[in-house]
Amino acid sequence: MIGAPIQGRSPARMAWDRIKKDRTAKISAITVAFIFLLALASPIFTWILHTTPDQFHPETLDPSFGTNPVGKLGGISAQHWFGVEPRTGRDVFLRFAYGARTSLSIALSATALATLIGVLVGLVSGFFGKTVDLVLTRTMEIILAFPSILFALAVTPVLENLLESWGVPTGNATRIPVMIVVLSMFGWPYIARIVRGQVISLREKEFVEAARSIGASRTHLVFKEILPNLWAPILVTVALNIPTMITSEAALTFLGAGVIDPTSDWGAMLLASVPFYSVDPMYTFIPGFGLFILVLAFNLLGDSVRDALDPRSSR
Amino acid sequence: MSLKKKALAVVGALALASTALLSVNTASAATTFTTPVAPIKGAVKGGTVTILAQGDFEHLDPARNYVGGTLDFYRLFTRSLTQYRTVNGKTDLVPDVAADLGTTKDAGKTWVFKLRTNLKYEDGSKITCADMKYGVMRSYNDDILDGGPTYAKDFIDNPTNYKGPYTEPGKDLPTVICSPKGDSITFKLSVAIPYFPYVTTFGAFSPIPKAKDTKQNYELHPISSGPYKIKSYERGKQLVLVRNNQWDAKTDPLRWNYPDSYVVKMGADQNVIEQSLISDSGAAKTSVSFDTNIITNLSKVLNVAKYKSRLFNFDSAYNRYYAINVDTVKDINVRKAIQCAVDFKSILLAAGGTSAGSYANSTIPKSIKAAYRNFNVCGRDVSKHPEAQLDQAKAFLAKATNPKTTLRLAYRDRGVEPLRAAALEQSLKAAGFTVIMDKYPSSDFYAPAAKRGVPNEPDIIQTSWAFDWAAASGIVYALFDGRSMTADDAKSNQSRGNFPDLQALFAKADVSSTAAQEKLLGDIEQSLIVDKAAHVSVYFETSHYMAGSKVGGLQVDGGYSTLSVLGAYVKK
Repeated sequence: MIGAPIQGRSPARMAWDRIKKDRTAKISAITVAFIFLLALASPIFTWILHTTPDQFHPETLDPSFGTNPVGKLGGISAQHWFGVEPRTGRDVFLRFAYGARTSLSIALSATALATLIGVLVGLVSGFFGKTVDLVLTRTMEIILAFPSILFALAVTPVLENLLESWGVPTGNATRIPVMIVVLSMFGWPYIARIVRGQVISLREKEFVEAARSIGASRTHLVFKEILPNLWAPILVTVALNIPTMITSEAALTFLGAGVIDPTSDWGAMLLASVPFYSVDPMYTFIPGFGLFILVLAFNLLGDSVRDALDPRSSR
Repeated sequence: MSLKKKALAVVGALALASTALLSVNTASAATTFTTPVAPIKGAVKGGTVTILAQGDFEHLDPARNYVGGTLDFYRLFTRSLTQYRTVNGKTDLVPDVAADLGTTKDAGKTWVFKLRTNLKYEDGSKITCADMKYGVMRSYNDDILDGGPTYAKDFIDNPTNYKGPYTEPGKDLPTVICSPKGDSITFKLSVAIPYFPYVTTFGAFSPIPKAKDTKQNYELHPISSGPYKIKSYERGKQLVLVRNNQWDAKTDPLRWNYPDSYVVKMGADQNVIEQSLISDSGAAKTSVSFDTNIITNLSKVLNVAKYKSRLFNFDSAYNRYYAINVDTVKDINVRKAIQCAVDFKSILLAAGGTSAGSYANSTIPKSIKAAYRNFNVCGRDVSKHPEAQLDQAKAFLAKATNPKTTLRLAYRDRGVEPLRAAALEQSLKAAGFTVIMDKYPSSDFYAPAAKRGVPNEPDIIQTSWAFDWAAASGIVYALFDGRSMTADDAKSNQSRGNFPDLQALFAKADVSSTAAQEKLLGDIEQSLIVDKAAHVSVYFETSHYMAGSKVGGLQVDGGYSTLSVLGAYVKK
């Protein structure tokens, strides 16, 4: 039988091929890429529109009712593509674009930090076992049992006051790092648990035994033998963790423990829009829809990545 | 966003409270004060009026009450020496526990009030002159009973340095004297106060039975002297008033008593209250709110025929202004540059636009005709040209010999105040300043912003004022009199001005007749804004309160510039 020559394909290549055939993956990847691009390119729009996300535009508001933008759908016009903010006339499109920056950088930094902690703890816990494992597993369970958003709400002002008492100025320069720390504090156990489980099954595998028998150090065993076999589950967890972080960040900000005005942020935009939902529904719709699309796209993308890497798992 | 705490309640001598923007007439001595008050046309007895409030009352203790809406409401169970009466839109000062409006033989230094002798508390016991005096005395313990106006303590002569009945039990305040028969009370003041009968409307001049005084806890159940008494009070949740059958309408010149009860429901947020009053469904029909201005939904209801009869629009006494710190901004040209850079338009838009307020060149409102001056600010009529005058601002800044281009702006984290501050920040930046935004917590602003010579002392203070009676004496002395400042505390004189020429004018005003004094105070304000550039008044707020369709008898009270519930009734 004549056919294409048989090629050896690496697991990564196989996964990539699977993703390329997945239409959902493509659409969601494009959506995510588009929002990233919007976030990265936001300064360009400042230049195109000749204004900044913080610039007030009193001329765009009804002079007798500062809560009402002039024009339809929250003041959408050639100059203000998504309309303007009630009371200030700040450009909603620019705030949306810059808000994507804030929301994404916080969510991604928190995910990165959580992944770093989670992988390290998972490796240590799974590899060493015994008391170390017991202590670390219990810690994870305790953290997972906490209602994270409520706890984050309570912890943020405490951390902030503590920093303030050390002379750190309050404001977004402290708020944002505090948020990243708090979000990752509650995010790492999810990753650590998965890594730990994988490590436990891997550490008894033949190739690890072989390395051990020729006298490889523990560091070598953990980082050179085990870790390279973990990238697939880590990637899947990270992909599914990002949307959770985005929602948590928006929720924290919405509840008042997050990013402070005038810095743009989607959660902050939603919070600011609440009083106006009946007079200017567009202002609530835009950040809400943005969040919805981004989280949905990330979730679908994460699912696709998981399917591609581990085709046996069912949807 | 609601106007709850009056602007400078915690600061200094002439702090403020509620107000009299609408003119209050002092009835001449010859007028008789008819009791009971004339009935409201169409009003019927019975039912329950519900009051929707965003939060609990700060204080119901008469000595501590200093909030417009509460000052109106607490009259349902608290009588004071004198009080405002509003009938058919006209507000008069009338004797309440007193039987006359007070007499003075020395141009206002000693005041004698006759007392009604047939009044009773809710438990049936008699209201005596000693109770009136005790009410005044306990207000001296403002360390424990904080939050209220300090007029009694400030104005009444205190030769023995009396500190209040809790600090000094058994000691007397010899300058408040009850006649032997207990039918009149005399106040000896430290200076002549011609407007003292207005001051006696405040709660410190209410009867308090000494045996029932529970200090800070008194406000949980103030003993009623009015037509209603407290049946239950769950702080932060609900207050229920029921009829007080010991009250006699024939002794009262200002109170009605139509509903069987008033229920105050606390804790809903601004938007929920707005929506439920607008929708007018179910229980909202018999509801009203006096702490919730219709703000975000205003464009849907203002000038809409359907809501006309339920929406009450009136000028409040609140003036929003900026004080420019002359201690830190020493160069007059820099101050003038700041004045020119203030964008009245974007500041008012942030607060809701021209339906939410009217531009004002002066913190003395137009309605105080004796003192109001129609001067220009930065060379233009601000009501016609509210935009920032950036070219002029830059020109002034260029002229400065001691330029200061970095300004620290202090503002309070409450309602739309951060947005108004941001609006100012923008126009200051456009004029060439660098602005440091200094946000203070809502509950702790006025006192820290008034500290002098401290690190991070603000250069511009975003603040407000509502006067306690409709006269320049209730504004200018409090806001611009540098003589009351100390080296480390500007008190309510946030601009820290203490100019020798204005001091001389104040000294002259102190000893002038009321009319001449008002004129001088008007001169002082004009000089402070135009010549010294130490103050920028931006706008007076407009109130928009709404009531359910089944509530009648509501009217705008000229004494407190609020929607009064004294005459409320439930329509059949």
